[in-house]
Amino acid sequence: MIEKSNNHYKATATVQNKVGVLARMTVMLRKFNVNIHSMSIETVDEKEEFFNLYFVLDTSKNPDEFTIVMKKLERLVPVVKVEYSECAPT
Amino acid sequence: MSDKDLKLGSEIFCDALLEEGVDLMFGIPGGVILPLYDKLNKFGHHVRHILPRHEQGGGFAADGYARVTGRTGVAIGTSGPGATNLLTAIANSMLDSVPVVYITGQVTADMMGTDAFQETDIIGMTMPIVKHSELVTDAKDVARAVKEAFHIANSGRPGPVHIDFTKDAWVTKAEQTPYEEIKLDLPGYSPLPDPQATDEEIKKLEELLDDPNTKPMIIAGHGVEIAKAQKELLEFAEKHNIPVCNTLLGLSTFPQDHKLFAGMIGMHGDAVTNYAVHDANLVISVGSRFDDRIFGNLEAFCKDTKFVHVDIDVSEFHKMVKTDLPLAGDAKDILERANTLIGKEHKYPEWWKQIEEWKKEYGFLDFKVNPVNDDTFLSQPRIVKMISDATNGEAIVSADVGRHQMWTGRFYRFKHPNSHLSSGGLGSMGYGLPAAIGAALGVPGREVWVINGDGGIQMNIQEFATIKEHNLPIKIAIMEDSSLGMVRQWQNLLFQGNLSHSVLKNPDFVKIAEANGIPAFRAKTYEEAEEAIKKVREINGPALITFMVDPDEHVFPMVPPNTPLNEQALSNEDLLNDRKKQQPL
Ligand SMILES: Cc1ncc(C[n+]2csc(CCOP(=O)(O)OP(=O)(O)O)c2C)c(N)n1
Repeated sequence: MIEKSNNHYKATATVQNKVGVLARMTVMLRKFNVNIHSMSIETVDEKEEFFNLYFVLDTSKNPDEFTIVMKKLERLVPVVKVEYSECAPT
Repeated sequence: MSDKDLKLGSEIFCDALLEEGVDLMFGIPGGVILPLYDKLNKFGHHVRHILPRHEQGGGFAADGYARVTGRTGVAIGTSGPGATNLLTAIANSMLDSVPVVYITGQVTADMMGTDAFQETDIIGMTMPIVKHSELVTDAKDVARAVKEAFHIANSGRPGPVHIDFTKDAWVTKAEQTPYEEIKLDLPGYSPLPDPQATDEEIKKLEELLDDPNTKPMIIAGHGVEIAKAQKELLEFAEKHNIPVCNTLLGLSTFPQDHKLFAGMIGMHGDAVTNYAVHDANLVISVGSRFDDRIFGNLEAFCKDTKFVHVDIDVSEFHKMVKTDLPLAGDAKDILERANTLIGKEHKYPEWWKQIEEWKKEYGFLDFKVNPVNDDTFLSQPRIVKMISDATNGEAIVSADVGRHQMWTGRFYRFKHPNSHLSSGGLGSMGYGLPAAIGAALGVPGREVWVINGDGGIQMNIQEFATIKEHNLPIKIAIMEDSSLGMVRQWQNLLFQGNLSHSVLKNPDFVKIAEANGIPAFRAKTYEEAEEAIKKVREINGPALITFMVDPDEHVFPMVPPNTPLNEQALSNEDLLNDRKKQQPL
């Protein structure tokens, strides 16, 4: 069950195109009890070495707490960059 | 290129280990990893392979080796049970930031997902407990994977890296690229934070130190040891006259006979330290992640305190405490810069007066001989002190987990860095004995002691055989209280004495040791203890003493969970008379 009162965030992660990269990210999100509300994906370069993953995430975490989650996400080795902002519930 | 110019993946792997300067590894062979083992003993002149009796023992040994040497440990297990047996060790290395490369075997790539014999999704299982991991299915990727693994494991904030090799990786062939020409493919990995703390940011520390009302305290954690920043820390502390306390894992990073040494902080830290940290209004944390075991109650810990946090891992900033001045980077570099950038010296006489008063009132680095059953049992802190005195604080001491671990931290007076081994973050029983194997092999010539509970020793007691096989001069001290002591303490103090499943009916440890060819002694009196400590130190090889200690001697201070540090309980009465401190959660 997803709490209606949860905070929503948009996050974009640029990641290496490697087996299991999404699993690593979802393991980290799950560890912090962050739910993936929606997700899409696009290639970044012609050689398809990198992808951008676009997430809408919902969580009870406030922006300060959420920042920690994003920093942890960014520390995953195949994750190159993470950008995020708060957003309205979709 | 003809087939004879190609090399087997297993051979490429062995060569890569040599390139990485690996001189020791711990592993147990089995089905899918046999092609590697078929090569391993042929290049064994260069790399010593130790066969532990359980993969967990091997993993902990590799972890212990890494902690005392600062080099990367290597532990190997086959697929399935060999791999799952490594899980606890991997989690341990992760939580304590220890560089170990864990190697597992995997079924062939085409069999993956079929529930083949001894197939487990070990990459999936280790994902949350590794710094990084990779599946390798072909000889052509072996050397790059090894090179990346060693680079990641022992750079930045260290940690475990796991490589799962399918059988194909060993038995396929590939062209061998000179190792130095292999490029790392890690665009997302940067060991150092970007950006790092600027000189201007570091200088802001001066303003905080200048405030006449400042009551500063440095908390030195494991990061100081990892960054090899002991000298810079000492210089910084001396220049500004700041008391330095250690976390459990930070012990041995600051000389304990130094006038600025302020003890160990935390749930079972020194009373003076806990009062001082609670009262301090400027906490400078170097390489500590503010584990909940050190702060008691977060709100009280943070109240009216400014925090400076030096850490290489920026995701640790603000995680537990809101940091006023985060300084991102390697602790050695930051302290070095602070030492040149901040010219002024500081004194804090009033603050020191207060600390000296606490020392007088509560005693400092000393213990009360206060066993409940004084005439029947030995007191654990006194035994730890006897070992500390006998070895003159020069030994490497590997503790397990429980009450003895806390007393070891408090009463063994470490003289040298990288000398204290303890499973801090995971708190895993069974760590002490195998970690000492890694230490004894990592720094031959150093005296190595294990201080263990009678519960935890039984979790990896099979490693007696490994110790004997290699005649490792490890001295094993078992604190035999016939109970899971720390659990008993909590049950005594927080659960109205309901000793639910915490009493041990022990085997005869002397006989078990002797059956393994290890000389062993039992000490029931202090005279016997003294004599036994002397004897085991004279033995050229392993030896064991089991000390018959008091099951009801509790470790104090005790900061019950979620309790402010200054409300620490100092005695049984203190805790039992105050129901507020008896909330088990
Ligand atoms: C693998 C594992 N299982 C359970 C625990 C929970 N635990 C923490 S301390 C402790 C008791 C340890 O008893 P012992 O080894 O005899 O040491 P003592 O506390 O008596 O010094 C237990 C069961 C743990 N830390 N690790």
